[in-house]
Amino acid sequence: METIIQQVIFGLTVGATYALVALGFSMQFRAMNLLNFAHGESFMMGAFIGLLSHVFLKLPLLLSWAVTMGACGLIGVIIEFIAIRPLYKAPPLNLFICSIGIAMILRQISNILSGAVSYKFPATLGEAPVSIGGISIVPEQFWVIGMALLLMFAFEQFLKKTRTGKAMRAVAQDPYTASLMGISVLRMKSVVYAVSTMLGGAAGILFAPLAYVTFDMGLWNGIKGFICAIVGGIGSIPGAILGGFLLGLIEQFNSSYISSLYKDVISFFILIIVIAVRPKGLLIRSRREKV
Amino acid sequence: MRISTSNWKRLAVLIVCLILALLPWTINPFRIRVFTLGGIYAIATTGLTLFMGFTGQISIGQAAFFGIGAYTSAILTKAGLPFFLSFFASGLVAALCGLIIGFPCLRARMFYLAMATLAFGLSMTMIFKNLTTLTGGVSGMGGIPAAGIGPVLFDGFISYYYLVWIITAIVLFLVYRLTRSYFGLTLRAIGDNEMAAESLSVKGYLFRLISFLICSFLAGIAGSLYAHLDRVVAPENFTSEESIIFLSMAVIGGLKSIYGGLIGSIVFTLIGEQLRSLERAQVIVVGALLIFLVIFLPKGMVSFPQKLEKMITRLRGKRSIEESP
Repeated sequence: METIIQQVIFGLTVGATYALVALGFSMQFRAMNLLNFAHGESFMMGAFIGLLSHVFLKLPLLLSWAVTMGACGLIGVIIEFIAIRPLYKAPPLNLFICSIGIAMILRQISNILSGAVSYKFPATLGEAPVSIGGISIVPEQFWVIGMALLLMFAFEQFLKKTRTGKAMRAVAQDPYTASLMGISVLRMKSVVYAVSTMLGGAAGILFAPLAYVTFDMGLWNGIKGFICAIVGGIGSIPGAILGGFLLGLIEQFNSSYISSLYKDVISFFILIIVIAVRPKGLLIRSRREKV
Repeated sequence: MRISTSNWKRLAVLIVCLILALLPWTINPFRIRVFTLGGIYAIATTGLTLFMGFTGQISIGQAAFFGIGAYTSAILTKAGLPFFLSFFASGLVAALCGLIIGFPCLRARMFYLAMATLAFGLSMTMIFKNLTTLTGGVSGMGGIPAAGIGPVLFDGFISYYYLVWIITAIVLFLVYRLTRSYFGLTLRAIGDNEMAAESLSVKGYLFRLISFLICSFLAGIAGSLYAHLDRVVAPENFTSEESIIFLSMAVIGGLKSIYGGLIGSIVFTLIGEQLRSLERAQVIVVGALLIFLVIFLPKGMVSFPQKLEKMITRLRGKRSIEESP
């Protein structure tokens, strides 16, 4: 029983970071009709900028969080302006290929800058396991889950309460009508890109202490964020969060009870099964197109 | 004398064939290998063009089928089967895997399908790495015999170059005929508007599945050719990054024309070759080129002549306005 609870907590920890990445995906897909292959790289950027500011420049933790999210947002705006904005009228496939190009550039820049070395990010609450009622828990896990939930809550409030958030939702629902209401659709898309990059960066800095910081960490985590967004139903925000936690749990139980070697293979087959059974994800009911 | 468009096309095909036929006598062996690789990629990319361009779907799993073909051919020829048979066997095995994956996944469309195929590709990479008894694990398989048909052995760079490009030409010709057939027209109809096509009692799912099988078959035979190129196969050649490269080649070349795959793979191999001296910055330049091409030539390199013509007419139009009093 104790081990199962430990597994659940660990699964939720990893799942929380996946969910943050998936949130960004979902938003970009809904508001910009963009399936962003480069989104995983925002995760990597977050981890590296966090590492730079917290470990090398020795800034206090909260300040380095602010620096990371600010820098990620800024990079997001720049990327959107240079590479994505010219393509809004192009077919979605072109946008997707363009995001592949962006991902290649970002990953290689960090490869060159980091010298392909993996770095250790210090844990915020400590990594020594604490025993609570026979269950040994690493305090860091609570930090990750707590911060992720806080960010999700803040994000939801942002979407619901602020003017910008409301405008973003309007653009996601119907860009044409939104533009008639005096919302600058282009600017909103830029904001969406920046905010989702910020969320990805936050996920990166949260995930960093759980593993090593390497230049190619974005690819896998991006793909997993992708999977979560799709399993939950892309475009649906509760779906993204559900997908994230679900994938974290499935991975954890896989690797401890079935096979750690094939844990990702099993997750991928779950994705394939979900896509085959519910082509639009768990939380979105797909209407059958009839002739 | 004015030459008609179809004659222009014939002339272009003839010139390309001539260049390709004379090429190996003018460059060094290493470059010949690169161009051979270009031909192999062209086969796999043509399959992708057929599937993506005509039915309007996305697949990011081409390298997995490529790898399945390569491993099948490697295992079979090492077991003593002649190249000729293992070549077709690898295509068939890849198509079979395509059936297993496509049957459930093709119900999903576009990005959902893209994700499913990406997941399939990632899992295949891991299977290649870990199924040590069959694939040789991370270090891969060596000692694959040279390709030979009957008594003729294609063990040199030049002879293998010709073998690959002859097969590429045959494949391109067959796919070209296919796209002009009833089947190709049906695919095009599905890609344009599936619902309208289904209202004319076209089975959309079935045709998408068949084109996916052709796509994986072509990846499989290309993989077989790849296995006999260096006579070594290793899992790092069949990762999802490779799938993305296939996808980029198809889109850069142009999805709406069957020559897109050929043009894309040649351009991509040439660019990769020219930028080799940049070492680690190479990937950055390739990424930037990808973005540039997608923005400025959204329909791929095949649309370049049209774009040029448009620009010329625009320039001429300006001049004639300036000249007019």
